[in-house]
Amino acid sequence: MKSNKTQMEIMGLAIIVILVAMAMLFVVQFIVLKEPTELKKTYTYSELAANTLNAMLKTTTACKDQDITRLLQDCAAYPPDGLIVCNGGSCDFVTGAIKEILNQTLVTWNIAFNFTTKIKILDKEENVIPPISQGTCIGERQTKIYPIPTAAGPMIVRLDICG
Amino acid sequence: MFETIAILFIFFIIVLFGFIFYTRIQKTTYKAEQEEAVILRAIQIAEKASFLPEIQCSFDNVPVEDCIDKYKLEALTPIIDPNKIYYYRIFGDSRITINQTYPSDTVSWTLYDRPKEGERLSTQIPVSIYNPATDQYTFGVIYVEVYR
Repeated sequence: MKSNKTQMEIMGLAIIVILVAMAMLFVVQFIVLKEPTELKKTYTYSELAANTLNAMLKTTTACKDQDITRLLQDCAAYPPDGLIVCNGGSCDFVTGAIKEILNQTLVTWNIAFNFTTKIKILDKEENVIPPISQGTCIGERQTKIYPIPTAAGPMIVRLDICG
Repeated sequence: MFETIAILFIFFIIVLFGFIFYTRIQKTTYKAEQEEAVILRAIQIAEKASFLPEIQCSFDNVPVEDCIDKYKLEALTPIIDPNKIYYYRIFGDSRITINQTYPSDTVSWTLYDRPKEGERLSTQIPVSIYNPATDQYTFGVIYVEVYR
């Protein structure tokens, strides 16, 4: 009888130990090992695409004091070189300007991105200037799309910030 | 009797382990919450810097987003130092610089600088810098470094 009572007590203790161990396991799994929310990255990336594109398109260039939007419109309306001439055509100039801006910002900050300018010609989408990108754009991305009217139809300028 | 004492002894050992484990978990959770608070503060300061009315572009009294007026910026920079107490309430321990990136990358303004020893959290915000005299825009970046 006494031995039975002792065995029951020990079994009870063992059950308590198992329950406590399971509780600790749950706590470790759901609290300690929980991935921290990337608040700063979420905020930064969501603003970055919009801010970069808005600021870039307004920028005045040295090409006859035309802004990037105007040069893109010229390049889209008069392919392949554009009508505005400055050290070559507007297409080359604006491609260089956009590359320089993106090199000094997103490339320097090691942010994967994809920049495209597309126009629909005879139901076919074509690039106004060659796409510019860095890294691979898979998974989550923040996108800013800017439609620009041109003589050849609406042009879609798109910047995807990836990661 | 000895068995009962032994069981009670083991039980209290388990309670002690549980208590130690609980305080460790609380410590980890507290550190994570502190980290989140620092990040939120950095985001807050970055937002305030990019929407500061003293330097924001405006046309016909309508403020324009993502745009800084160059002359307002040059006028504000020497005023911030004598009014550091006022701006400390807005920016805290941080450093805010605005760099012109295109067409020329040699122009830079330090809007606010109150450094502190320790780690820094950096945020970059692209922005247009408007010159009202020539009605031209340049591409710039606001660098906000918040000290922990």
